[in-house]
Amino acid sequence: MPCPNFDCLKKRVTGGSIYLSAEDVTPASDGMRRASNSRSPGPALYRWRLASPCQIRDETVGACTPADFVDCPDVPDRVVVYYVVQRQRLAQADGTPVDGTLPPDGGAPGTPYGPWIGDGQGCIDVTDLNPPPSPDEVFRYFQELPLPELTAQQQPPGNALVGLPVIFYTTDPATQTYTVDIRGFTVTILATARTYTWHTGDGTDLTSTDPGAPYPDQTVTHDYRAGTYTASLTTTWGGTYTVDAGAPADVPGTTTTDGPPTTFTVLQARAVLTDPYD
Amino acid sequence: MTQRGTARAAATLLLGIALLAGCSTEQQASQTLPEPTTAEATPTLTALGPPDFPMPAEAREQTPEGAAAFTTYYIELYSRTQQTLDTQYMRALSAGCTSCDQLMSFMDGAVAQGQSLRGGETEVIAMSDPAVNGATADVAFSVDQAPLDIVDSAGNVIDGMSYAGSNNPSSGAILAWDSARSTWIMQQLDIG
Repeated sequence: MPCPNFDCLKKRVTGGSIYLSAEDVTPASDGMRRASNSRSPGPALYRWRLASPCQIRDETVGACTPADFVDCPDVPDRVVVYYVVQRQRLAQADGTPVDGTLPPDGGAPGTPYGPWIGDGQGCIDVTDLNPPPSPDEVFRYFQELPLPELTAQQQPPGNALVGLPVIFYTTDPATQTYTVDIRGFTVTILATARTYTWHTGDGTDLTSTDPGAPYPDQTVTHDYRAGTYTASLTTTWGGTYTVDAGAPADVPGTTTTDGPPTTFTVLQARAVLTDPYD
Repeated sequence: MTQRGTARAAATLLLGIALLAGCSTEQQASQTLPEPTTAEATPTLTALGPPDFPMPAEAREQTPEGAAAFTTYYIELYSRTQQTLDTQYMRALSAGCTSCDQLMSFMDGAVAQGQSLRGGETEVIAMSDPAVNGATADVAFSVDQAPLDIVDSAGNVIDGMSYAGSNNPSSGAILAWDSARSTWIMQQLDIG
């Protein structure tokens, strides 16, 4: 993204746009590194920041790749996310250099100096930092939402006839808004029906991106042979979300709901010669 | 002496007389010795940077002093590029530097829109001795930038495109040594 001057760069990298700041990143007793905002005893040599590989690549080339998403083990009651870790030197009170380099202008103790230097990447326990919910974390909540189970309706109502295509549609809402609390963050999720899979009951599945419509605007129809069938609708939901009314982002995945079944009979009409004057 | 040997000696004598005759008419004997020549020519580096602001030789040394000189040169080059908007020289000295790309991208966009930059002079205020580790160097420095205006083709400042200057004492860079061109390359530029 274009930047007009140094101030723009500074705000972008230190304003929290993509990086999660930490006072310390230390190895934990279980071998997993832990980021926190409380410092270890002794003088602090560095300040720290973390960003996901996707965030860094997006900042660099404007897109992410599947390789940027790395799963981390689920640890009960902990937030563990794959991060790239960087650190920056801090000026020392006794004037000693950090990693062999002194501050450029003898800055006050604690003043950051020099470039951000890579310090590895991996699954980091960031529970103490209470970071905003990650897309993956939102997706886990998304999968648990009580999303609507859309009902398939058909025309003609009741019994159908062989040779007269049955029309499928649903009038249930295609969007639904939920507000959930994730670790103190207000996350608003707008769920949207992305695709509709109509199970006709004779082994055929019809897929559409619209909810169908009743006659005469029908878009989803199916021809049956005579018999009794049970049809239903599976809806695939995607969504977008905001954290604390911030910028919307896509929920990284979809989930499905199955609507209630509808049973109907398709009759074979037979021609019968009748006397209209009888 | 055999017959064949006698004939060869006579031919050599005739050739020698002919050569001496050719030399004796116009040529004067040289009064000075020729300059000694060295076995190897001194290598010359391909010039880098704009013709009117070439990279200084000291910036092309794989030493802490070279890394410091390169960083200072690069920042000055950026400062000048804001006026010329010709980013090719900065681009030739950057590789994988996201911040550099963002600055150049803005200038390229300004060219495309017929805009120009006014102000924004940039200067390294202080720098500590760079740490050179093989083919990489990290440099800590403080850099100031003057206020910057973006102006349209008529020279008028565009609304909302005036930027305050900044002091950036927590800035740093990571450089990589390009042995093929004997120069440092800006790999990462952090402004803070």
